[in-house]
Amino acid sequence: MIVLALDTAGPRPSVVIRLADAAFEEALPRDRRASEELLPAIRRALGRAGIGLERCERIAVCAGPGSFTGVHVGLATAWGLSRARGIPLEAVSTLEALAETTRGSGTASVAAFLDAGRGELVAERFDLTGPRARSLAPASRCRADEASAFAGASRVAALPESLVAPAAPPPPTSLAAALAAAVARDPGRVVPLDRPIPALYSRPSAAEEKRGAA
Amino acid sequence: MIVLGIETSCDETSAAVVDGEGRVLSNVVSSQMRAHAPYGGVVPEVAARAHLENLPAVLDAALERAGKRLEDAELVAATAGPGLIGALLVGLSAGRGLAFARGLPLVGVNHLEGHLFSAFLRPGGEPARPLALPFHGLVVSGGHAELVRVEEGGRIVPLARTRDDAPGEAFDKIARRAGLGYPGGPVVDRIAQRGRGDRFPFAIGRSGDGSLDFSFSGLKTAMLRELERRGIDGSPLDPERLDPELVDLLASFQRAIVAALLDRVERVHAAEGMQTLAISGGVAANTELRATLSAWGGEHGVAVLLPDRSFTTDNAAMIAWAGLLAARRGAPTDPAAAAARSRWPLGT
Repeated sequence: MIVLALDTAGPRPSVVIRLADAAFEEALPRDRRASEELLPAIRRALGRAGIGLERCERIAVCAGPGSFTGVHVGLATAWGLSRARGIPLEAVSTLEALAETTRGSGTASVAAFLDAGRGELVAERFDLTGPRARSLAPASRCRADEASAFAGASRVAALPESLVAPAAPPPPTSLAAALAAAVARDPGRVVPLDRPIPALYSRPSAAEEKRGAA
Repeated sequence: MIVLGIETSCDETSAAVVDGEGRVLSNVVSSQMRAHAPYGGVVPEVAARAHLENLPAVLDAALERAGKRLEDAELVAATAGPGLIGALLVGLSAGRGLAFARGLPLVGVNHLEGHLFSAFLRPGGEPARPLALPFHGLVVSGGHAELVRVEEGGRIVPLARTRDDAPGEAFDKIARRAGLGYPGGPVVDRIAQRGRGDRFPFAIGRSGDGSLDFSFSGLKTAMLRELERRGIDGSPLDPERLDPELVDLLASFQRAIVAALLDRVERVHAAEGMQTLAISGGVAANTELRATLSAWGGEHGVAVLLPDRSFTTDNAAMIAWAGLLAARRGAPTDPAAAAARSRWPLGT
């Protein structure tokens, strides 16, 4: 299966075309320029893979949690590409993509951590014994000093690595590469293209939180 | 030519289909007003989230009402600025994705340019009015007050803009303080129709340096003081059962805004002559502004174009139309290169 994977949600954004067992990856800048660089990067990756977009059989995108703007840019772009060509779209948790980066390291379970802002982490544990990472409980927020208790016996994956102490080992691949490999191995649930585009947030908006507290 | 327009610069998610003659085949607007109402104004983060949720259904509805499929589109026009950056990026990213995947050109449209040319659009599937270049344009909304000249070749020359509040913003603030709710423009418009606009003369803001720029903050402050003097503190009032003096006060306030806009129009007409004046933006729906400027145009031989009310608020039909005109003038059309800009003055 030929997969296009996009990650503009995580701290090291990139795009990947996975074709047979080869991955053609293009890194993206971290800031708002990621949105301007996204289509040129996809164009370059397609060019290196020697295919047109219409050959892609699935588009996968990191749907958050992550950079607020990055999540929206990635999802809206992926939705547009998918809607225009009728290519099935998977919107996958950024934490699940992070968990997938540790596949093959011999661990059966992994605790994935991303920055949730305001001194908090967003965390989720996954079982890796099947073809796709399976969530063991919904994502939740915790403090950095609670991370090792949260992880228990699971392997720790964190981006950036220094989010937890001691620092997690660097992920062997990017989120987009791990996501593309997972989707190619075992395609998952597809997003209906006529329904709201499903973003995942680590917390309600600041306005909603403030109003809830008032 | 079939153009697909997408607008997500503030709190309306909109998609439209317009053809090469400027016929509006569909124009679907989903307002987020209810999502923002609890906060008393537009919350950027809430707006961006809502655009992502609303866009698929809005786009599908626009295509369906136009009797078109996505495959029929030949140009994508998406608002690129000015506006809330997070909100702009949702519609622009989706538009870029659609255009890139279909190999279509995409124009990143200036939202104010969308308003500027909206006075030429007609409802009911009629072709757009012929573009009478050169013309003058007055864009008045909740965020802007711009008076420009559009030259023969399409170049936009700014002549005046507001130094502080936009007129729509002044309407909103006064209506809120008077306990009349949000948005303020329509409710003040309705009340003013039964009031005496000449009862409380307000001064028109003019800058001392001879500039044509607008200023509405002095008027707003004077009006707030008048409300305060009468003990009006924002407690909800029934617009149909107001004290007659308050009715006259609101009518006078509106009269002053209209007078300020007319003042600059007259000065530009005296300085360089006008053939056509196209009025646009949310405040272009105001009854007194429409009547006053139409009458002025009649007296001075200036053709005054007023947009249909359906094109005065933010909508994607005007974005599709402005995008098509921009593409014809040679604007860049590579979907991969279109960038969002939170600030983007007209004519730059």
